[in-house]
Amino acid sequence: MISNAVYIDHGDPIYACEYCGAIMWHGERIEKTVKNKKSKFTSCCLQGQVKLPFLKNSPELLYALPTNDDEISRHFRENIRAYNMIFYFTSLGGDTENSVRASGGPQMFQIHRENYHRIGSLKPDNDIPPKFMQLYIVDTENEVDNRSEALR
Amino acid sequence: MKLITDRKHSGESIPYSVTNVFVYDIDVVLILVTVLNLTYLILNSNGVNADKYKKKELRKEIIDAVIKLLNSINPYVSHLRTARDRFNANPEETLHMRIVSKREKDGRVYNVPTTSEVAMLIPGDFTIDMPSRDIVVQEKSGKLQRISEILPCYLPLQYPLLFPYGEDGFRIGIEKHQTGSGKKTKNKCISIRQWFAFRIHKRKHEKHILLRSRRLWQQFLVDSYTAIESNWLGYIKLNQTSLRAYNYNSVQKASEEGKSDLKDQGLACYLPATFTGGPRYMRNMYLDAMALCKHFGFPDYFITFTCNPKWPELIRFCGERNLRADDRPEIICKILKMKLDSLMLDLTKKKPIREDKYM
Repeated sequence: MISNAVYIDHGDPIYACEYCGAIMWHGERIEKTVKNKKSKFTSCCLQGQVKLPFLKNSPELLYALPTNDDEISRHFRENIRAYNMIFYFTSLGGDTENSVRASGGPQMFQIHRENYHRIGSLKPDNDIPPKFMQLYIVDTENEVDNRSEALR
Repeated sequence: MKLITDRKHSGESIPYSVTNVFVYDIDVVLILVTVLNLTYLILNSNGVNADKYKKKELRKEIIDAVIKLLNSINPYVSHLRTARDRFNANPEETLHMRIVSKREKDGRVYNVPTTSEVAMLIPGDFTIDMPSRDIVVQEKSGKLQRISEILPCYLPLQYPLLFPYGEDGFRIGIEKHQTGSGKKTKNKCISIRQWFAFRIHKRKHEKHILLRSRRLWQQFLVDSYTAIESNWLGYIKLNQTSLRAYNYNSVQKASEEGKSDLKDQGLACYLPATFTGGPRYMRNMYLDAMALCKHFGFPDYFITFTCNPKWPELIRFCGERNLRADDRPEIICKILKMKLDSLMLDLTKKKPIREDKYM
Protein backbone atom coordinates (compact mmCIF):
# COMPACT_ATOMS: atom_id res chain seq x y z
CA MET A 1 0.00 0.00 0.00
CA ILE A 2 2.65 2.44 1.03
CA SER A 3 4.93 1.95 -1.97
CA ASN A 4 2.47 3.38 -4.49
CA ALA A 5 1.04 6.03 -2.21
CA VAL A 6 0.73 9.50 -3.69
CA TYR A 7 0.59 12.68 -1.68
CA ILE A 8 -2.96 13.97 -1.59
CA ASP A 9 -2.70 17.68 -2.18
CA HIS A 10 -5.62 19.71 -0.98
CA GLY A 11 -4.91 22.57 -3.34
CA ASP A 12 -5.25 26.25 -2.61
CA PRO A 13 -8.04 28.15 -0.90
CA ILE A 14 -9.76 29.15 -4.12
CA TYR A 15 -13.29 28.62 -2.88
CA ALA A 16 -15.31 31.27 -1.12
CA CYS A 17 -18.28 31.08 1.18
CA GLU A 18 -21.30 32.20 -0.80
CA TYR A 19 -22.68 34.18 2.14
CA CYS A 20 -19.73 35.97 3.70
CA GLY A 21 -16.97 35.54 1.11
CA ALA A 22 -14.47 33.88 3.44
CA ILE A 23 -11.76 32.07 1.50
CA MET A 24 -11.87 28.33 1.95
CA TRP A 25 -10.26 25.12 0.83
CA HIS A 26 -12.35 22.64 -1.04
CA GLY A 27 -11.71 20.10 1.70
CA GLU A 28 -13.47 22.27 4.26
CA ARG A 29 -16.91 21.95 2.72
CA ILE A 30 -19.72 20.21 4.51
CA GLU A 31 -21.64 17.23 3.16
CA LYS A 32 -18.51 15.81 1.58
CA THR A 33 -20.06 12.52 0.61
CA VAL A 34 -22.64 14.15 -1.64
CA LYS A 35 -21.16 14.43 -5.11
CA ASN A 36 -21.85 17.19 -7.64
CA LYS A 37 -23.20 19.56 -5.09
CA LYS A 38 -22.31 23.18 -4.67
CA SER A 39 -19.69 23.56 -1.94
CA LYS A 40 -21.08 24.89 1.29
CA PHE A 41 -19.15 26.06 4.31
CA THR A 42 -20.25 26.50 7.87
CA SER A 43 -17.12 27.29 9.85
CA CYS A 44 -17.19 30.98 8.95
CA CYS A 45 -20.78 32.19 9.23
CA LEU A 46 -23.12 29.18 9.69
CA GLN A 47 -24.38 29.63 6.13
CA GLY A 48 -25.29 33.25 6.46
CA GLN A 49 -26.71 33.22 9.95
CA VAL A 50 -23.85 35.23 11.38
CA LYS A 51 -23.75 38.51 9.58
CA LEU A 52 -21.33 41.13 10.79
CA PRO A 53 -19.96 44.26 9.17
CA PHE A 54 -16.68 43.65 7.39
CA LEU A 55 -13.61 45.27 8.81
CA LYS A 56 -12.88 48.77 7.67
CA ASN A 57 -9.58 48.90 5.83
CA SER A 58 -6.69 49.70 8.12
CA PRO A 59 -5.07 53.11 7.72
CA GLU A 60 -2.36 53.11 5.08
CA LEU A 61 0.42 53.55 7.63
CA LEU A 62 -0.64 50.65 9.83
CA TYR A 63 -1.21 48.32 6.91
CA ALA A 64 2.11 49.17 5.30
CA LEU A 65 4.20 48.78 8.44
CA PRO A 66 3.87 45.01 8.90
CA THR A 67 3.48 44.08 5.24
CA ASN A 68 6.20 45.98 3.40
CA ASP A 69 9.58 44.47 2.92
CA ASP A 70 11.96 47.20 4.00
CA GLU A 71 14.08 47.48 7.11
CA ILE A 72 11.58 49.48 9.20
CA SER A 73 8.79 47.05 8.40
CA ARG A 74 10.92 44.11 9.42
CA HIS A 75 11.76 45.82 12.67
CA PHE A 76 8.12 46.66 13.27
CA ARG A 77 6.74 43.22 12.69
CA GLU A 78 9.35 41.56 14.83
CA ASN A 79 8.39 43.86 17.67
CA ILE A 80 4.72 44.24 16.93
CA ARG A 81 3.63 43.02 20.34
CA ALA A 82 5.89 45.57 21.99
CA TYR A 83 4.43 48.32 19.86
CA ASN A 84 0.93 47.27 20.72
CA MET A 85 1.94 47.14 24.35
CA ILE A 86 3.01 50.76 24.51
CA PHE A 87 -0.29 51.94 23.06
CA TYR A 88 -2.89 49.80 24.71
CA PHE A 89 -5.30 51.01 27.38
CA THR A 90 -5.81 47.84 29.35
CA SER A 91 -3.36 45.28 30.63
CA LEU A 92 -3.43 41.57 29.96
CA GLY A 93 -4.15 39.57 33.10
CA GLY A 94 -2.63 36.15 32.44
CA ASP A 95 1.06 35.38 32.96
CA THR A 96 2.89 35.40 29.66
CA GLU A 97 5.28 32.50 29.45
CA ASN A 98 8.65 33.72 28.21
CA SER A 99 10.68 30.54 28.49
CA VAL A 100 9.13 29.13 25.34
CA ARG A 101 10.61 31.98 23.36
CA ALA A 102 14.12 31.65 24.68
CA SER A 103 14.31 27.96 23.86
CA GLY A 104 14.17 28.56 20.13
CA GLY A 105 11.75 26.78 17.87
CA PRO A 106 8.68 28.30 16.32
CA GLN A 107 7.28 31.52 17.59
CA MET A 108 4.38 31.05 19.89
CA PHE A 109 2.43 32.74 22.56
CA GLN A 110 1.52 31.02 25.76
CA ILE A 111 -0.22 32.28 28.84
CA HIS A 112 -1.06 30.81 32.19
CA ARG A 113 -3.77 31.37 34.75
CA GLU A 114 -7.02 33.11 34.15
CA ASN A 115 -6.87 35.74 31.48
CA TYR A 116 -8.58 39.09 31.72
CA HIS A 117 -8.19 42.69 30.65
CA ARG A 118 -7.93 45.35 33.32
CA ILE A 119 -8.13 49.08 33.19
CA GLY A 120 -6.65 51.54 35.68
CA SER A 121 -7.36 55.16 36.43
CA LEU A 122 -6.95 58.36 34.44
CA LYS A 123 -3.99 59.62 36.44
CA PRO A 124 -1.21 57.67 38.14
CA ASP A 125 -0.94 57.65 41.90
CA ASN A 126 1.71 59.83 43.45
CA ASP A 127 5.31 59.03 42.48
CA ILE A 128 4.36 56.18 40.19
CA PRO A 129 5.27 56.67 36.53
CA PRO A 130 2.30 56.74 34.17
CA LYS A 131 1.27 53.49 32.52
CA PHE A 132 -1.09 52.33 29.81
CA MET A 133 -3.76 54.89 29.11
CA GLN A 134 -2.29 57.35 31.59
CA LEU A 135 0.38 57.97 28.96
CA TYR A 136 -2.30 59.65 26.87
CA ILE A 137 -2.93 62.19 29.64
CA VAL A 138 0.15 62.81 31.73
CA ASP A 139 3.27 64.60 30.48
CA THR A 140 2.36 64.48 26.84
CA GLU A 141 5.11 66.91 25.82
CA ASN A 142 7.53 64.01 26.17
CA GLU A 143 5.08 61.38 25.05
CA VAL A 144 7.35 59.70 22.52
CA ASP A 145 10.13 59.28 25.07
CA ASN A 146 7.76 58.14 27.77
CA ARG A 147 6.34 55.50 25.53
CA SER A 148 9.65 54.15 24.38
CA GLU A 149 10.68 53.92 28.05
CA ALA A 150 7.43 52.34 29.11
CA LEU A 151 8.55 48.79 28.57
CA ARG A 152 11.69 48.87 30.66
CA MET B 1 -7.77 -3.16 12.55
CA LYS B 2 -8.42 -1.60 15.87
CA LEU B 3 -7.86 2.01 16.66
CA ILE B 4 -8.92 4.21 19.45
CA THR B 5 -10.11 7.64 18.65
CA ASP B 6 -11.35 10.29 20.91
CA ARG B 7 -14.99 10.98 20.33
CA LYS B 8 -15.82 14.50 21.32
CA HIS B 9 -19.22 15.69 22.32
CA SER B 10 -19.68 17.21 18.91
CA GLY B 11 -19.63 13.78 17.37
CA GLU B 12 -16.42 14.34 15.46
CA SER B 13 -13.54 11.94 15.82
CA ILE B 14 -10.01 13.12 16.21
CA PRO B 15 -6.97 11.23 17.40
CA TYR B 16 -6.06 12.18 20.87
CA SER B 17 -2.51 12.79 21.86
CA VAL B 18 -1.73 13.19 25.49
CA THR B 19 1.22 15.48 25.16
CA ASN B 20 -0.49 18.24 23.26
CA VAL B 21 -2.85 20.70 24.75
CA PHE B 22 -5.12 20.60 21.81
CA VAL B 23 -8.39 22.36 21.64
CA TYR B 24 -10.36 21.82 18.54
CA ASP B 25 -13.94 22.73 18.01
CA ILE B 26 -15.64 21.37 14.97
CA ASP B 27 -16.91 24.68 13.73
CA VAL B 28 -14.15 27.03 14.60
CA VAL B 29 -10.48 26.80 14.12
CA LEU B 30 -9.08 28.33 17.21
CA ILE B 31 -6.00 26.78 18.56
CA LEU B 32 -3.89 27.38 21.58
CA VAL B 33 -0.66 28.27 19.96
CA THR B 34 1.08 25.95 22.37
CA VAL B 35 0.30 23.06 20.12
CA LEU B 36 2.86 24.29 17.67
CA ASN B 37 5.59 23.56 20.16
CA LEU B 38 5.98 19.90 19.38
CA THR B 39 5.10 19.90 15.75
CA TYR B 40 7.31 22.77 14.75
CA LEU B 41 10.65 21.97 16.22
CA ILE B 42 11.73 21.07 12.72
CA LEU B 43 11.05 24.56 11.45
CA ASN B 44 13.82 26.50 13.09
CA SER B 45 16.66 24.13 13.59
CA ASN B 46 19.28 26.59 12.36
CA GLY B 47 19.26 28.69 15.49
CA VAL B 48 18.60 32.07 13.91
CA ASN B 49 16.13 32.88 16.61
CA ALA B 50 18.65 33.52 19.34
CA ASP B 51 19.54 36.96 18.03
CA LYS B 52 16.04 37.82 17.04
CA TYR B 53 14.70 37.65 20.55
CA LYS B 54 17.10 40.21 21.91
CA LYS B 55 15.24 43.20 23.06
CA LYS B 56 15.44 45.90 20.48
CA GLU B 57 15.07 49.58 20.91
CA LEU B 58 11.74 50.81 19.71
CA ARG B 59 11.95 53.41 16.96
CA LYS B 60 10.83 56.86 17.96
CA GLU B 61 9.76 57.80 14.45
CA ILE B 62 7.30 54.90 14.39
CA ILE B 63 5.96 55.78 17.82
CA ASP B 64 5.52 59.38 16.78
CA ALA B 65 3.69 58.47 13.58
CA VAL B 66 1.37 56.06 15.37
CA ILE B 67 0.56 58.62 18.07
CA LYS B 68 -0.43 61.12 15.41
CA LEU B 69 -2.53 58.52 13.62
CA LEU B 70 -4.35 57.42 16.75
CA ASN B 71 -4.94 61.04 17.76
CA SER B 72 -6.81 61.62 14.57
CA ILE B 73 -8.89 58.47 14.27
CA ASN B 74 -9.24 56.62 17.55
CA PRO B 75 -12.34 57.61 19.56
CA TYR B 76 -10.97 56.43 22.90
CA VAL B 77 -7.77 58.40 22.41
CA SER B 78 -9.67 61.55 21.58
CA HIS B 79 -11.57 61.29 24.87
CA LEU B 80 -8.31 60.90 26.78
CA ARG B 81 -6.86 63.91 24.98
CA THR B 82 -9.87 65.95 25.94
CA ALA B 83 -9.40 64.86 29.53
CA ARG B 84 -5.76 65.93 29.33
CA ASP B 85 -6.70 69.37 28.01
CA ARG B 86 -9.21 69.83 30.78
CA PHE B 87 -6.77 68.75 33.45
CA ASN B 88 -4.18 71.12 32.03
CA ALA B 89 -6.60 74.03 31.86
CA ASN B 90 -7.84 73.53 35.36
CA PRO B 91 -5.72 71.26 37.57
CA GLU B 92 -8.27 71.41 40.37
CA GLU B 93 -11.02 69.90 38.29
CA THR B 94 -12.02 66.32 38.95
CA LEU B 95 -13.17 64.11 36.14
CA HIS B 96 -14.06 60.57 35.56
CA MET B 97 -14.53 58.74 32.30
CA ARG B 98 -17.37 56.44 31.65
CA ILE B 99 -16.90 53.86 28.90
CA VAL B 100 -20.30 53.18 27.48
CA SER B 101 -21.20 49.58 26.79
CA LYS B 102 -24.56 50.08 25.18
CA ARG B 103 -24.86 50.51 21.43
CA GLU B 104 -28.04 51.76 19.85
CA LYS B 105 -27.16 50.78 16.30
CA ASP B 106 -27.61 47.37 14.73
CA GLY B 107 -24.54 45.21 15.34
CA ARG B 108 -25.00 43.48 11.99
CA VAL B 109 -24.44 46.70 10.11
CA TYR B 110 -22.31 49.04 12.20
CA ASN B 111 -19.12 48.30 14.04
CA VAL B 112 -17.23 51.57 13.91
CA PRO B 113 -18.52 53.69 16.77
CA THR B 114 -18.42 57.45 16.84
CA THR B 115 -16.54 59.33 19.49
CA SER B 116 -19.66 60.20 21.45
CA GLU B 117 -20.77 56.58 21.47
CA VAL B 118 -17.75 55.00 23.11
CA ALA B 119 -17.28 57.08 26.23
CA MET B 120 -18.08 60.27 28.04
CA LEU B 121 -16.22 62.51 30.43
CA ILE B 122 -18.13 63.53 33.47
CA PRO B 123 -17.00 66.20 35.92
CA GLY B 124 -16.91 65.31 39.58
CA ASP B 125 -16.48 62.02 41.34
CA PHE B 126 -18.12 58.77 40.58
CA THR B 127 -21.71 58.49 41.71
CA ILE B 128 -23.61 55.32 42.30
CA ASP B 129 -26.70 55.84 40.16
CA MET B 130 -25.32 54.63 36.87
CA PRO B 131 -26.10 51.70 34.65
CA SER B 132 -23.89 48.98 36.03
CA ARG B 133 -22.45 47.59 32.79
CA ASP B 134 -20.59 50.76 31.93
CA ILE B 135 -17.02 51.00 33.05
CA VAL B 136 -16.20 53.96 35.21
CA VAL B 137 -12.59 55.03 35.04
CA GLN B 138 -11.81 57.23 37.99
CA GLU B 139 -9.25 59.94 38.11
CA LYS B 140 -7.16 58.21 40.73
CA SER B 141 -8.02 54.94 42.28
CA GLY B 142 -4.85 52.90 42.45
CA LYS B 143 -6.91 49.89 41.54
CA LEU B 144 -7.38 47.97 38.37
CA GLN B 145 -10.81 46.95 37.31
CA ARG B 146 -11.69 44.12 35.06
CA ILE B 147 -13.34 44.52 31.67
CA SER B 148 -15.80 41.82 30.81
CA GLU B 149 -15.35 39.99 27.52
CA ILE B 150 -18.93 40.71 26.48
CA LEU B 151 -18.35 44.47 26.28
CA PRO B 152 -17.70 46.02 22.87
CA CYS B 153 -14.64 47.85 24.22
CA TYR B 154 -12.89 44.61 25.23
CA LEU B 155 -10.88 44.24 22.03
CA PRO B 156 -10.23 47.83 20.88
CA LEU B 157 -8.84 48.82 24.28
CA GLN B 158 -6.37 45.96 24.24
CA TYR B 159 -5.39 46.10 20.56
CA PRO B 160 -5.27 49.74 19.42
CA LEU B 161 -2.97 48.79 16.55
CA LEU B 162 -5.35 46.14 15.26
CA PHE B 163 -8.49 48.18 15.74
CA PRO B 164 -7.32 51.76 15.24
CA TYR B 165 -10.82 53.08 14.63
CA GLY B 166 -11.99 51.61 17.91
CA GLU B 167 -14.01 48.97 16.07
CA ASP B 168 -16.39 47.20 18.40
CA GLY B 169 -15.71 43.70 19.59
CA PHE B 170 -18.32 41.14 20.47
CA ARG B 171 -21.30 42.28 22.45
CA ILE B 172 -24.49 40.69 23.61
CA GLY B 173 -27.52 41.08 21.42
CA ILE B 174 -26.21 40.96 17.88
CA GLU B 175 -29.04 39.17 16.15
CA LYS B 176 -28.70 36.30 13.74
CA HIS B 177 -29.47 36.98 10.14
CA GLN B 178 -32.58 35.29 8.84
CA THR B 179 -31.48 33.21 5.90
CA GLY B 180 -34.98 32.28 4.85
CA SER B 181 -34.28 28.58 4.92
CA GLY B 182 -37.13 28.20 7.35
CA LYS B 183 -35.02 26.38 9.87
CA LYS B 184 -35.79 27.36 13.41
CA THR B 185 -32.76 28.49 15.30
CA LYS B 186 -32.47 27.91 19.00
CA ASN B 187 -30.75 31.14 19.82
CA LYS B 188 -31.81 34.46 18.47
CA CYS B 189 -28.45 36.13 18.92
CA ILE B 190 -24.97 35.06 17.91
CA SER B 191 -22.55 33.69 20.46
CA ILE B 192 -19.08 34.96 21.23
CA ARG B 193 -17.58 31.90 19.54
CA GLN B 194 -19.50 32.58 16.34
CA TRP B 195 -18.37 36.19 16.44
CA PHE B 196 -14.70 35.22 16.58
CA ALA B 197 -15.17 32.47 14.00
CA PHE B 198 -16.53 35.05 11.61
CA ARG B 199 -13.74 37.47 12.37
CA ILE B 200 -10.75 35.21 11.92
CA HIS B 201 -11.61 34.29 8.35
CA LYS B 202 -9.91 36.06 5.50
CA ARG B 203 -12.15 37.73 2.97
CA LYS B 204 -10.81 38.88 -0.34
CA HIS B 205 -11.88 42.50 -0.27
CA GLU B 206 -10.74 43.16 3.27
CA LYS B 207 -7.42 44.90 3.59
CA HIS B 208 -6.80 44.67 7.27
CA ILE B 209 -3.78 44.43 9.52
CA LEU B 210 -5.39 41.79 11.75
CA LEU B 211 -4.36 38.71 9.78
CA ARG B 212 -0.96 40.15 8.94
CA SER B 213 0.15 40.99 12.43
CA ARG B 214 2.05 37.76 13.13
CA ARG B 215 3.01 37.68 16.83
CA LEU B 216 0.12 39.93 17.72
CA TRP B 217 -2.20 37.65 15.78
CA GLN B 218 -1.04 34.72 17.90
CA GLN B 219 -1.75 36.75 21.00
CA PHE B 220 -5.12 37.72 19.60
CA LEU B 221 -6.05 34.09 19.01
CA VAL B 222 -5.05 32.99 22.48
CA ASP B 223 -6.88 35.96 23.92
CA SER B 224 -10.02 35.16 21.93
CA TYR B 225 -9.95 31.57 23.04
CA THR B 226 -9.73 32.58 26.69
CA ALA B 227 -12.54 35.08 26.15
CA ILE B 228 -14.75 32.34 24.74
CA GLU B 229 -13.82 29.98 27.52
CA SER B 230 -14.47 32.47 30.28
CA ASN B 231 -17.82 33.24 28.67
CA TRP B 232 -18.59 29.54 28.71
CA LEU B 233 -17.48 29.15 32.31
CA GLY B 234 -19.59 32.13 33.26
CA TYR B 235 -22.61 30.41 31.77
CA ILE B 236 -21.88 27.23 33.70
CA LYS B 237 -21.49 29.13 36.92
CA LEU B 238 -24.76 30.98 36.52
CA ASN B 239 -26.71 27.95 35.37
CA GLN B 240 -25.81 25.34 37.93
CA THR B 241 -29.49 24.56 38.52
CA SER B 242 -30.30 23.81 34.92
CA LEU B 243 -27.15 21.71 34.67
CA ARG B 244 -28.53 19.71 37.59
CA ALA B 245 -25.42 20.29 39.60
CA TYR B 246 -27.40 19.66 42.78
CA ASN B 247 -27.38 15.99 41.88
CA TYR B 248 -23.78 15.78 42.85
CA ASN B 249 -23.63 18.45 45.44
CA SER B 250 -21.66 17.49 48.47
CA VAL B 251 -23.44 20.05 50.61
CA GLN B 252 -26.72 18.39 49.82
CA LYS B 253 -25.35 15.00 50.71
CA ALA B 254 -23.85 16.19 53.97
CA SER B 255 -27.03 17.90 55.07
CA GLU B 256 -29.07 14.82 54.31
CA GLU B 257 -26.72 12.80 56.42
CA GLY B 258 -27.58 15.10 59.24
CA LYS B 259 -24.27 16.84 59.73
CA SER B 260 -24.79 20.08 61.55
CA ASP B 261 -21.46 21.66 60.67
CA LEU B 262 -21.47 22.44 56.96
CA LYS B 263 -18.74 25.02 56.89
CA ASP B 264 -16.11 22.62 55.55
CA GLN B 265 -18.27 21.52 52.66
CA GLY B 266 -18.05 24.79 50.81
CA LEU B 267 -19.92 25.80 47.72
CA ALA B 268 -18.49 24.17 44.68
CA CYS B 269 -19.09 25.02 41.08
CA TYR B 270 -19.43 21.95 38.93
CA LEU B 271 -18.10 21.64 35.44
CA PRO B 272 -20.35 19.40 33.37
CA ALA B 273 -18.95 16.68 31.13
CA THR B 274 -19.50 18.85 28.08
CA PHE B 275 -16.80 21.30 29.17
CA THR B 276 -13.83 20.37 26.99
CA GLY B 277 -10.81 19.47 29.08
CA GLY B 278 -12.69 19.43 32.37
CA PRO B 279 -12.40 16.51 34.80
CA ARG B 280 -15.80 15.06 33.96
CA TYR B 281 -15.06 15.37 30.26
CA MET B 282 -11.76 13.52 30.67
CA ARG B 283 -13.45 10.83 32.69
CA ASN B 284 -16.07 10.34 30.01
CA MET B 285 -13.39 9.98 27.36
CA TYR B 286 -11.51 7.49 29.47
CA LEU B 287 -14.57 5.39 30.17
CA ASP B 288 -15.53 5.38 26.50
CA ALA B 289 -12.08 4.14 25.55
CA MET B 290 -12.16 1.44 28.18
CA ALA B 291 -15.61 0.33 27.08
CA LEU B 292 -14.35 -0.06 23.52
CA CYS B 293 -11.43 -2.14 24.72
CA LYS B 294 -13.67 -4.34 26.78
CA HIS B 295 -16.07 -4.99 23.96
CA PHE B 296 -13.68 -5.47 21.07
CA GLY B 297 -10.39 -6.33 22.71
CA PHE B 298 -7.26 -4.21 22.94
CA PRO B 299 -6.29 -1.90 20.07
CA ASP B 300 -3.57 -2.87 17.62
CA TYR B 301 -2.82 0.64 16.41
CA PHE B 302 -2.67 3.92 18.24
CA ILE B 303 -2.41 6.65 15.66
CA THR B 304 -1.31 10.17 16.53
CA PHE B 305 -1.79 12.66 13.74
CA THR B 306 0.25 15.82 13.94
CA CYS B 307 0.81 18.74 11.64
CA ASN B 308 3.83 19.50 9.56
CA PRO B 309 4.96 23.02 8.66
CA LYS B 310 6.34 21.76 5.35
CA TRP B 311 3.00 20.66 3.98
CA PRO B 312 2.97 21.97 0.39
CA GLU B 313 -0.41 23.63 0.90
CA LEU B 314 0.95 25.55 3.84
CA ILE B 315 4.18 26.53 2.09
CA ARG B 316 2.25 27.83 -0.92
CA PHE B 317 -0.23 29.72 1.23
CA CYS B 318 2.39 31.43 3.36
CA GLY B 319 4.80 32.00 0.48
CA GLU B 320 2.22 34.01 -1.43
CA ARG B 321 1.64 36.22 1.56
CA ASN B 322 5.23 36.57 2.66
CA LEU B 323 4.48 34.94 6.01
CA ARG B 324 5.94 32.09 7.98
CA ALA B 325 3.89 29.07 8.90
CA ASP B 326 3.71 30.00 12.56
CA ASP B 327 2.24 33.40 11.73
CA ARG B 328 -1.07 31.78 10.85
CA PRO B 329 -1.91 29.10 13.43
CA GLU B 330 -5.51 29.02 12.29
CA ILE B 331 -4.52 28.03 8.75
CA ILE B 332 -2.44 25.16 10.12
CA CYS B 333 -5.47 24.08 12.03
CA LYS B 334 -7.68 24.19 8.96
CA ILE B 335 -5.25 22.13 6.92
CA LEU B 336 -4.79 19.65 9.75
CA LYS B 337 -8.53 19.18 9.88
CA MET B 338 -8.73 18.55 6.14
CA LYS B 339 -5.88 16.05 6.25
CA LEU B 340 -7.42 14.34 9.22
CA ASP B 341 -10.76 14.07 7.48
CA SER B 342 -9.18 12.50 4.44
CA LEU B 343 -7.19 10.10 6.63
CA MET B 344 -10.37 9.02 8.37
CA LEU B 345 -12.11 8.70 5.04
CA ASP B 346 -9.31 6.48 3.77
CA LEU B 347 -9.40 4.29 6.85
CA THR B 348 -13.14 3.91 7.04
CA LYS B 349 -14.22 3.84 3.39
CA LYS B 350 -11.29 2.40 1.49
CA LYS B 351 -10.36 -0.07 4.23
CA PRO B 352 -6.63 -0.49 3.63
CA ILE B 353 -6.40 -2.86 6.58
CA ARG B 354 -8.86 -5.66 6.66
CA GLU B 355 -10.89 -6.99 9.52
CA ASP B 356 -11.30 -3.72 11.29
CA LYS B 357 -13.69 -4.04 14.12
CA TYR B 358 -13.83 -0.54 15.43
CA MET B 359 -12.29 2.80 14.98
